[in-house]
Amino acid sequence: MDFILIQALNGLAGASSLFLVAAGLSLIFGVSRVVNFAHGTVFMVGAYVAWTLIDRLGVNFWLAAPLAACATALLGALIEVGILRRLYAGHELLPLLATFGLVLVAHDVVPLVWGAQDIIGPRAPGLTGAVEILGRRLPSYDLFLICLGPVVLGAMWLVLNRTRFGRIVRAATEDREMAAALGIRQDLLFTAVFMLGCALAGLGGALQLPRETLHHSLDTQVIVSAFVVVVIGGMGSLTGAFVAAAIVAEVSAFGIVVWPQGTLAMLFLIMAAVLVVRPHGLFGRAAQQEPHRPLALPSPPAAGYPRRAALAAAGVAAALLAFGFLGSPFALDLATQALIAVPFAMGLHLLIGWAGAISFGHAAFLGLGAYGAALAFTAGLPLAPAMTAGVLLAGVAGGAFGALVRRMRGVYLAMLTLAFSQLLFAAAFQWVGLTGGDNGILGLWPEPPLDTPMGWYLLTLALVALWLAAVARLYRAPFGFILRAAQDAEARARADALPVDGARVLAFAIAGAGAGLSGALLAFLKGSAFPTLFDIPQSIDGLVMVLLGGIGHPLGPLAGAAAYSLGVAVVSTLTPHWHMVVGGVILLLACAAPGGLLTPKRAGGAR
Amino acid sequence: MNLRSALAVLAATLGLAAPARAAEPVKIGEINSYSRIPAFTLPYRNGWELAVEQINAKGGVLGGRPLAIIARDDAGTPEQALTAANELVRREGVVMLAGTYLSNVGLAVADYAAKRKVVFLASEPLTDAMVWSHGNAYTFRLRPSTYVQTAILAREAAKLPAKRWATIAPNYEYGQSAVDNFKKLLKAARPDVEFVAEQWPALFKLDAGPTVEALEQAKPDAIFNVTFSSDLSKFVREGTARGLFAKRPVVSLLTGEPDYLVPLGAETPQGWIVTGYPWDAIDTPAHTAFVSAYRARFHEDPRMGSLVGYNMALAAAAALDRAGSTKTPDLMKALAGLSFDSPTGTITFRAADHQSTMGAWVGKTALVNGEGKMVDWRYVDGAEVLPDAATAKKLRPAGKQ
Amino acid sequence: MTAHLSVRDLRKSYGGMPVLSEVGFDIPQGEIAALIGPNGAGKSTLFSILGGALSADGGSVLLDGAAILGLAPEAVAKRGVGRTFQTSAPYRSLSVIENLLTIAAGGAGFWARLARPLAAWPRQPALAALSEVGLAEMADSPARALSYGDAKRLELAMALARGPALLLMDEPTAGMAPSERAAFMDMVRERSRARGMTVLFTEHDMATVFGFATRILVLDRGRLIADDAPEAIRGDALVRRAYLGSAPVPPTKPL
Repeated sequence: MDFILIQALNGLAGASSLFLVAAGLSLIFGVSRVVNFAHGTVFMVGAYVAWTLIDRLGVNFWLAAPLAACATALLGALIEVGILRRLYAGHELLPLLATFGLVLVAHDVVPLVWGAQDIIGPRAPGLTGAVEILGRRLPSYDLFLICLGPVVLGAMWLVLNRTRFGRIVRAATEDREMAAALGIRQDLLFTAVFMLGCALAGLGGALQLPRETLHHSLDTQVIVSAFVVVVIGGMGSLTGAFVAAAIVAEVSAFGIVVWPQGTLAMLFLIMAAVLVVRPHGLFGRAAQQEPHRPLALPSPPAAGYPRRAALAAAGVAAALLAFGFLGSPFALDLATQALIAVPFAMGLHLLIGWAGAISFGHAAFLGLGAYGAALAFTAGLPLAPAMTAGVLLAGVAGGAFGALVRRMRGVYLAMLTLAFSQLLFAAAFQWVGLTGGDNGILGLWPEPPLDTPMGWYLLTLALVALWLAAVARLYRAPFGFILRAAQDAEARARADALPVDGARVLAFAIAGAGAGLSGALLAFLKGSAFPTLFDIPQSIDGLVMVLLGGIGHPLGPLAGAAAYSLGVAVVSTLTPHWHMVVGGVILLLACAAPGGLLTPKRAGGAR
Repeated sequence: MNLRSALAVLAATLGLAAPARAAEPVKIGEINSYSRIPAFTLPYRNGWELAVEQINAKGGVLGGRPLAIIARDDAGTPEQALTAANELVRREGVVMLAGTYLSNVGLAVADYAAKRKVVFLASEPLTDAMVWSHGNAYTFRLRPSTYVQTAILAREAAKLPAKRWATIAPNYEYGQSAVDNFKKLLKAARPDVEFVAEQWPALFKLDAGPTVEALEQAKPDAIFNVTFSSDLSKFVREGTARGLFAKRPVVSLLTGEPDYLVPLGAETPQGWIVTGYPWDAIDTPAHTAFVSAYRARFHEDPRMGSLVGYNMALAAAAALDRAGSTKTPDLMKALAGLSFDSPTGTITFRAADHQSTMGAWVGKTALVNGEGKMVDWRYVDGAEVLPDAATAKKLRPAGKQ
Repeated sequence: MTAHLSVRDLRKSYGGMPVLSEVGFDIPQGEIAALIGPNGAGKSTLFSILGGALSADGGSVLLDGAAILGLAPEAVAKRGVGRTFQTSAPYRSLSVIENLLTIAAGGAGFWARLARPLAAWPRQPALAALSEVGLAEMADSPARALSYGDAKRLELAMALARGPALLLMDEPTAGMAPSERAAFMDMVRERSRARGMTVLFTEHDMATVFGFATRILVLDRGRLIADDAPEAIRGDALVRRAYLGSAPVPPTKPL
């Protein structure tokens, strides 16, 4: 019994800092619909700043924490005014792309500023000891954290309900148009809310110091948990964030007792369970879902493509083919990787651009394709059937998943896709008997002549070209038009008896199969398959390719896949600080060309 | 990186430039998690840079050619490591691959090496699979493996009176095989012990409070710890605050390495039985020379990674000189059974399983002047604990030897 | 004449607040019925339920004797119900004719939907439908470039594209000039006469209601308070009270 009580208190202590980060994230999303991927980075910077103040400048911990919060608020203002403000008119995912660029930059800058070594956080003066509860010792700082959560929630409640600023924030969260109609300066409001959110994250980071070790990848650990908490609680709801943080922390505190190996999967199982029962989170409301901004992909010309376009396509194909015979082995290897990224990015673009279904977990299908092919191959199947098995597995999984989520939209759908991919990641990681665990499946080398760079390049080129031709056909067929119609006016489409749900499920199946093709090709290019294929960075890569290429152009993902894949490969041979360079380029492009590298020509008329 | 070389890389990438002529230096391709795990890999990089400078100052390798190590970041993923391996082999024309930190990255590069018939000198990855279940003819491993490190600790653990053991390890192959090895070896030595609790936090995601409480709940006599880096610091702090380590021996893998001990500082737990690297207490002339050269060059203290990096470059140079050529078959022959002098004694790559005999230091942690140190330590040569040649050979896949 | 659309005892409440209470009426085939009532009377809710977008708490809706209550919007549409929305919503990213071609192709077989380019679908029927609403000239313009009235007309053509037996129109002429209104409703009436199509529409403009409806249903606070010919409705005391007694209150949203 006493164990249960202590463990419950442990959980609550962990919940507090999670809540601080999640509260800021939720607030920002609620008002400005910005998915701030850099929120974990702000948390980390808050912790580092507090450490600098304490360790280097001798500031007292209790003063350093609020000072760090002020510093991150200023950082927030810089980010909002300098970057995000330019992006609000564009696609809802643009801020995600830009903040991801920030994360990359921070990944290199933080070790340069604060060093690469782990730093054990300073303790909080006055709260270094432990208190005895029922014969067990609980660090007194944990007790402080347990009390802090409700205090911050209460303070936020007062701010939101008893001040003019709070009323404006709530109005904007519930109805943006009306807030604008009331004459509220939207730009000031967004900046203020972003600063407040960042201050909370910075405070969370500083207050976590006595329990945390500082290192440069603290941000990615925090951001995923924080997102999960926000989604479980309901985007925009502070109470929801509080309750969800408590649930997540408690379930994991007791979960490790019952199922110690389950630490990888636990968080996402909770989220998936909650979203299946309550698709808008515990305290979220359906009405709070973001108003959809259709992308308006252009129609193919009714009279067919002009001869010039056909000639250009043929020219590119011929050049790529010739390159297969002329390119150096290493150049071929890079080109193969860029080609392999194409069906993956095209599939994600099909979901986001055409079907209006945002996915944060497209890597799920990349991994399924790779593992399906790898397992079939190691079981003794020849290459072609093994690859087919991978593609089919990913396609069927895509269709089945699509059928489950066909009515879901927005960030909640995105988070379910994330949960799906993370659960598969955990399975690939944990099910050592089948998948080899994190050591992966090795020895996936094709037979000659496909085992040469030229051989695999030419096969990849042929399969990707076939895939492109098939997808282009689909886009020009009613299937593509039904998806676009449903994005433009879903109620209209249903009233016109268009098979909207069927088309969406099919889109998931095709996107899955495309990613599966990429996965299978990748496995045999690399000779191996690893759980990292299922992991979040792969999904993010896909999003970056799609957004970078231009979401409003059917060929956008092609450009994005090629540019990003080659860019990373080249820059990473030039400098160990390639994250910073790539992140900086992403930031620049997001601000300078928010539509992406390719933007459709518009005949006129407003969006 | 100036504009001209950037353009050259771009041109070469596009396959426009003619293949580079074999340049004067002998090039070795090095792949590591420089951006993902800089805490360990940056000292490692310093280590091999120092060794390369010293080797070249003495006239290089193969009778006067300078040694050049070309490093690439793998970002902690096998996929990027393989891209880098390809680039190094195919564009840079390196004669040998080396490096890697994470086990899965190491295994992927080893598999690639076997496929492309390049020698791979795996410097840091610890997994036993590297030289045993996934061992291949082209891959040689420098650092003492998980098996070696746990075998050393299991021998110490067997001397303790403790019967009820609890384990905590990061939930991936390294942690899993460390716990497996430890259980097997300890059970063999002490059939009376039982394992009463295990915790498997995800790597770098330890939820310390609840985990410590769950271990405490099992009331073990002793604890075997495999967590490291930020997980270790959190575990130590929470465990100390909650009294988990009071009157309980802890046997802990790698904790004595300065990479993990230094950050603990004044909070270093006392009396843990650990493997590690007491760099400031090893006073052989060779080692003292290494330490002073390292400090002079980088103005910081060496870490475990520094020594491994230094030894990697020494091993590569010794292999080249013994082979007398840069051809793969010659290098393979040269590395099998190669002995070279490291700052901490002679190291041999066993012909039977390609594992080096580089050993580990075992001792106890202590707090000296507010800093974590290893005391009562001794060096255990890898040859002492590794299975004999015949047994080791059987652990490797048939037909690949 | 038999009832074409038959609604019985329809009930709907939101969080305990009744929005529709025991609403029942019959509309014979070919009739043009208007549904009127003050704001918040439940007209849009009734339309959403009839169209399948919203579920009812109870009651029944029969179309040609077959139950359609509880069916999804797609299924309701397939039973022969076409509809237009209060805020006109053609597919803005498509060209005008693609709006109609997509609807035509949407009913095709699975493989045809996947493989046959939309551009290869027969244009003639779509062009004919566009000329009925006077948009043939605009066939290849982007739908987003249409004027407000043209968008309404395109939407009418879309709603009619599947040859519905029942047409539901939510505020079809809102925002139009008076002359445009009459022309628009004339098109509807012609179509209704030619095909025997039943029409049910909501409308705020009383001139349109009394000019075109052959039947008027009056809804007030979720109850049907009158159901009669236009002349009879004009003199109905209850209707007068519903309209005059309660000044139209714009919907308020709490801060």
